Amino acid sequence: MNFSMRELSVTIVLLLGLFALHFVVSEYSVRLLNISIIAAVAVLGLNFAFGWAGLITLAQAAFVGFGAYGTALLTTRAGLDPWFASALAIVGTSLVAILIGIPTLRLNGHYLALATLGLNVSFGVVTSNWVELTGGTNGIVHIPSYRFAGVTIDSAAQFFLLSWCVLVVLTLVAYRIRASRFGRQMIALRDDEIATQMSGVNVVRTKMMAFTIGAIYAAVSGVLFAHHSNFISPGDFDYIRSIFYLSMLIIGGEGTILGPILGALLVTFLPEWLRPLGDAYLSVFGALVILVLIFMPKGLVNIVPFLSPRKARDPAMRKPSRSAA
Amino acid sequence: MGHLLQLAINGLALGSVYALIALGFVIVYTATGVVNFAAGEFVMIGTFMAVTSIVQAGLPLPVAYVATLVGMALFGLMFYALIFLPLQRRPVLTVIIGTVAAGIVMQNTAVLIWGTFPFRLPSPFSDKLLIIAGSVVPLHNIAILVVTALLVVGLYFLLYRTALGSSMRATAQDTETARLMGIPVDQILAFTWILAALLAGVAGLLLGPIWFADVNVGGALALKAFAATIIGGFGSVPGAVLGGLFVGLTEVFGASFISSTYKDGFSFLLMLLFLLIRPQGIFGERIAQRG
Amino acid sequence: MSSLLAVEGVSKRFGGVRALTDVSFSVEPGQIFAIIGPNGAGKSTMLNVLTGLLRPTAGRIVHEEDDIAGWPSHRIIARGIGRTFQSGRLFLRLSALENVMVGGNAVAKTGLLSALFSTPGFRADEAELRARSLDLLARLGLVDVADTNVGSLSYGQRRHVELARALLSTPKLLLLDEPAAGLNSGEVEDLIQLLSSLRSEGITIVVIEHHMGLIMRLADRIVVLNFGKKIAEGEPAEIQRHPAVLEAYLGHGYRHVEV
Repeated sequence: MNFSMRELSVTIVLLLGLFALHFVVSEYSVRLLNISIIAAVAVLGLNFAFGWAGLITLAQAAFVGFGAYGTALLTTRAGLDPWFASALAIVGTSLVAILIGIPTLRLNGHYLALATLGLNVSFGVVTSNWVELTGGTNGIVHIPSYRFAGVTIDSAAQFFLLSWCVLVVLTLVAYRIRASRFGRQMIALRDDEIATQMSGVNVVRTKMMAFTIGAIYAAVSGVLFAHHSNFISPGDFDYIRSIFYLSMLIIGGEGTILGPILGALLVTFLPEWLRPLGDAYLSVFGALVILVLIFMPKGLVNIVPFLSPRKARDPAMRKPSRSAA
Repeated sequence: MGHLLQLAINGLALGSVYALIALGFVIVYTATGVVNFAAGEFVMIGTFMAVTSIVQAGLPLPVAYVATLVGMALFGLMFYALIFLPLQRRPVLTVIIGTVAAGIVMQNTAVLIWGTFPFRLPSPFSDKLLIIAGSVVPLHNIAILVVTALLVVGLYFLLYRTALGSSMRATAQDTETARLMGIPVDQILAFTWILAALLAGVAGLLLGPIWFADVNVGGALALKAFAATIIGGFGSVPGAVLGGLFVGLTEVFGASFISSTYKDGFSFLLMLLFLLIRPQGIFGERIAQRG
Repeated sequence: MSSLLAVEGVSKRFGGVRALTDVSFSVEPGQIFAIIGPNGAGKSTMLNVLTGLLRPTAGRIVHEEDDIAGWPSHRIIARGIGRTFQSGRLFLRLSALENVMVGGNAVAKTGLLSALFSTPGFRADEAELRARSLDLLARLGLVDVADTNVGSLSYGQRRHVELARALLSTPKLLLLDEPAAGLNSGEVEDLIQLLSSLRSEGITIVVIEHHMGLIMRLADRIVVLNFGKKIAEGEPAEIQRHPAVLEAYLGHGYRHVEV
């Protein structure tokens, strides 16, 4: 595995770098790191569905919301332990994703985008209005934090350790999928669906797999979010967030695993870095995003020249990589 | 009976505004494949240009309207040049994200210029009411219906009875071939964006007196436009009009008979239903689906 | 010999367009069977129907005693059928080697969990897939570009990669759409050798072609389509002289002259 190995090594360096960083930066920055990581998890999930399999899904924030509301309700209403509630919420969200996937994944292109958009909006309408269940626009408060070995995980640094570990595990999972036929199939699907069918791949099942794995990652992001901010409201999971995840993916580098992490970091930190500009900071942020889109077509990932995909090279320079079998 | 008529007219009026936004949205989509996520912000900018001309500069209404439309045309051209042109050759989704970012810039710049406090825009019909068959209807709403009808007819004429319109339709069907046939595709696309901006501007002018001029209104409007386009049929101009009317009627009737809290939800649930049962909408092209 | 593939009365309509009308032929195992005809005759449509991309409007497609008409593509391919396209459809974001490996999907043994935990079973599966893919690439002269991005390969190389992908699952039936298109005479010669050797390995080949030299040298049997209908079927020598075929290609008033 050639370019994947290079990308993996850069990713590992980045993750280790973030870990080291959290010891030296301010607590506010660590909070931002936590927020970026939580977003990165959701965007990593989106990469399976869209970056690889080409499913234009605008429902990722809704799946994050399913995870968040699931665990929030199970802990605050049913009194379950946060870890257990989170696990249940993740499983529940994946079932929801499968149910939603069955009818909607038959739609193509823009229609899928709009169906998932509608879904996300419906999620928002229901969570805002079903007050008895969800607290409506007031949201759900006093969501308990995780506890581990007698310690409550509520400081920024403590939560960083948890979320960083989750990110590392999920990143490695993504690389393992990439290195298997499942990853290849999903990528093939977007590149040429007909050729994928002609290779004997069950395209319907592949789409479901990409969509569901994406939703599982989103649910993980959701449970982390809920137990990190201890408060959720419908506005945290609106369709704008879905578009933000998509933007993070495209800005970072769609179709890669490093890209989602870079994109989440940039889109979270850049507005903060721009705050000194005062009231205009969001406008500048939007303008910078447009510039990135114009001048970096493949996303931030291509800033690292090391990661440019290999072109056909002089055979004499190629290292032997054939397996002995 | 009078109540129903009142609801119907108000629904159609609101729907007409949605139809205008959806029209601008659809002509950009059919010509370029771009889903303009800033469509709502276009309308918002139109409303605020009116605010500046009428409320802040104190211009007489007809002058202010013209100024707003000129401003919107220029704005459309600027959007074409700064957002669409540089990203033209990219995958469509990149351009779409570009419109999202542009929407953010537009909204926040609007906050900087006009603040977050909504403005009241006066109607040229200064809140006059009309009594029709026992129901009381604001004259402004009748005016909306008339103006929209005129614009739709005008648009039909433009698209189907003029050379410019044929060029636009040719570009929409196959940009490269149109270029090869000598059609100045770049100018046509610029004009398309300008026209979309103008339609949004008119929508903003019509909507301002009903809804207040509010910098945050863009998102909700864009969604209504999307719903209208889905219901009417994604590539379809008459579909945009019908879809917009449908959404307006659903919203007004839904709010009145079922629940006003869920009113935004009705259009979206309707849109969802269409997407699952008849994704091509009322007028749209058949979509090949493979199980 | 019972036939490997029997097409019985297959028709395909798209609205008012009759792409195929009542076409029947059968392919014996170990044959190279050619489908020829002028452009627009329905040849690619036939291949699309055979591989499940299109559902026939009428007719049966009997493959090894099952009627596979209307079956989903992946089930058809899993029966040991491979297919290539005239344009050489590849996955541009994967390397040449990975492109070929996608073809092994139908014969994969381990599942997602094994992949996630990188079990010995998974690693053995992957290694075997990799090795067999490299062997195929080597056979087609592409081992040097195995790790490169397919976007930078030449047209001829791309078609070879696609063929390798189709061959990876050791199909018994290969459906090739204009494999000689765009090749120079040296490359066509290599192709003829390749298809010959595949035939001698027991693979049945159905090939759509315009290159008459290749057809005449390789085909055991030919069916000729025109405007969606079968106008002739037989051995190369018969087809060469068949009046309906000549008329289809050359128009009226052609007189065949023996040299």
